[in-house]
Amino acid sequence: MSETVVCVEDFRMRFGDLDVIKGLSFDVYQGETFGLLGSNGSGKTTTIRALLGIYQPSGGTLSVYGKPFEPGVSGALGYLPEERGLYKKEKVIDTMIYFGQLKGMTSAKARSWSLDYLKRVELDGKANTRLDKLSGGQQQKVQLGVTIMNDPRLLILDEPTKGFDPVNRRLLMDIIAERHQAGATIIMITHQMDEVERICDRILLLKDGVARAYGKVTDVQDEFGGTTIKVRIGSQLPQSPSYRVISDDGAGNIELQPLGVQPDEIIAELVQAGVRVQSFLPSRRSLDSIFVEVYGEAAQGE
Amino acid sequence: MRNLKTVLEFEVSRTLKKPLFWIMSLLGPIGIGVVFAISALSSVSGAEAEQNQANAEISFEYLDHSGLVDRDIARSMGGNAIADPAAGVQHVQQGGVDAFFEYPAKPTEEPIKSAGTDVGVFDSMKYESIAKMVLQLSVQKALGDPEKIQISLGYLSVESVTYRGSEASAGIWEVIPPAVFLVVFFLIIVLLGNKMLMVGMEEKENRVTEMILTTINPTALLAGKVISTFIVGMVQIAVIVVPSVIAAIVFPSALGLGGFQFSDLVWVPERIVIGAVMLLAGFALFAGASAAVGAMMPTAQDASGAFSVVMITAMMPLWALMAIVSTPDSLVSQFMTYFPMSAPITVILRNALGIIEWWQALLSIGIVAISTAVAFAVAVRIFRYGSISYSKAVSLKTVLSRQ
Repeated sequence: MSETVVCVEDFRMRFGDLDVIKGLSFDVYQGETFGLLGSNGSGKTTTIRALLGIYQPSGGTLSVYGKPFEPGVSGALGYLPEERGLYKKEKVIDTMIYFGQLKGMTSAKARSWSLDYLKRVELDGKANTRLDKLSGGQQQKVQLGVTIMNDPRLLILDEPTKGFDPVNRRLLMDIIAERHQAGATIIMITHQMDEVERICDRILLLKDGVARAYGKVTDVQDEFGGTTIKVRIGSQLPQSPSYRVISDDGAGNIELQPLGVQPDEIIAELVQAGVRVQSFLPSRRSLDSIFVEVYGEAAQGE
Repeated sequence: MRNLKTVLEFEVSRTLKKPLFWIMSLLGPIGIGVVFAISALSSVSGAEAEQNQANAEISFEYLDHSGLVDRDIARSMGGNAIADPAAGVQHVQQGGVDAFFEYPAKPTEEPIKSAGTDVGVFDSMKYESIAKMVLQLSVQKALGDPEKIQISLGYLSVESVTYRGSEASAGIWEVIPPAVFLVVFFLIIVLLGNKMLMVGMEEKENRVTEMILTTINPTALLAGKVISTFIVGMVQIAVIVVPSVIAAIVFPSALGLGGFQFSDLVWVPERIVIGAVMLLAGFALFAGASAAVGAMMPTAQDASGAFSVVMITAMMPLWALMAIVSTPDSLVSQFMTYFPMSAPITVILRNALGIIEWWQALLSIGIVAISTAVAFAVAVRIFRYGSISYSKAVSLKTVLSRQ
């Protein structure tokens, strides 16, 4: 088994009279991309803040590389928080050098790295510009640069694509892929289930402070129904004890879960019932539909 | 305190690199220079104008009920005595004379009445000057002895020596050096108050707290920011004080410091040490309290109320100045001496004036030092847990009750 990078055991967090996290345990291993999922208020950000020592846990232990997190000691960390910003009145290059130095780089190395990065993200002419003079998208690029300075071994991204334009989203995904290839461990908090399915090795679904599902993406999919069938139909879908509807977009795209029957038996049943089937695709159940099932329809739009 | 040096370098250099910092700092001495120049010029021209008015040649009539006006003097200044006050006023109205003065029987109890041709608000003041001048010169002539005249006018000086045992004390000259710490502390509060508030607030306002807290310990961050604020403050104060000191050396009389020489100053080591230590301790306490307030509130506007309390408690001794100076053993003075927030100004002031025992100063410094440690610990705790409360103020009870 790979080295355990993050270990959370029986973590509990209480704010006033409210138990936000109720005995959460999970591990994150070296080199994997781990998805921490949950609706708003489920405790994801609280867990990360406690892991990084920003919050003091009410109980349990949280460790990074075997010890409670300590800035600058626990190995290079890249953290992109949900609430993000930089010193707006300062120049881009000064801010990047400052963070580089705080992360253990020399001033010269931080400067050289920053200038290379700014060139890569087409901000090479903005090094001496004040941050508040940059557009929102340009500031996001600088923010990303600061996050990945000094080649972090552990990258924690809290809703990384939140507020990002498509260009920066692509840049972020490239960076995640690069860091993953370089062997970094990545923890990602997100609501983008398609991204999770694409890049995460394992996930944890958090609801009301407890883990609802934890493990490999495929294992979680199996746990919540395994195979599903995505059909596109041109007429009304009849009710049947052979399947249940997981999702229906109202335009004929429906995801069905077989109930003790094989997919080919379902298509035979639909055809026999006179349903005009335009496409029929057995596949694993989508994380999106699992998310909706766990958190309810209200969470889908979050 | 890993990364303390990095924070210091960043905080100091980013402030000193800003042109606005130098512009705002230089505005102080430039402003002081302009005020002094205007004041000096206007006092010179004011004195000249007064003299010119008194020397103005006019024709006037007068009626003297006091018997003090000397006819020869009045005549030499263009005056003729008359008996009818109504006629005097009429002559002025008809343009026969410029003015008419009626001297009362007791000039110290009643006003001299003056009627003159209107030559504008400012120029018309010459009538008052001449009316007074005629009477003053007449009385001086009656007194005869120039020495008595000078004494009666208060032209006296006293050369005073006080003794501590058999040794003559230096008086004001030994008060000035330790009193400089009072000026510096006052300037720190005025110039750096807002900056110290931002020590605990800037990261929150810029939403950078979480990123920064994963790279540096909050104690090191706050310590770095407080120390750098002090360094920047000292630079700013130097920018203000150095030109003023140079001006005091080069143009002492223009600044009303005629006769002052730096060599006259007496440096009492224990007073200097106590002043310097209390200045540092007081600054640290003020910075810690301000940083805690800043970390607790979501915006500078929200923090203004609580910050005012910090400012007022620090400035409190100024309202009780007379009590502290005149009765240093009074209850008010003792309270101000040992209450942490008011102690810096009180002790530095009493120390400068030599009206505090050494053990009292040390006890007060100890209280301020302990309070500083507590304030700083609270500030760090609030910063750690409160500076990610981006939209609402954090409760002190909540922060302190966390395990």
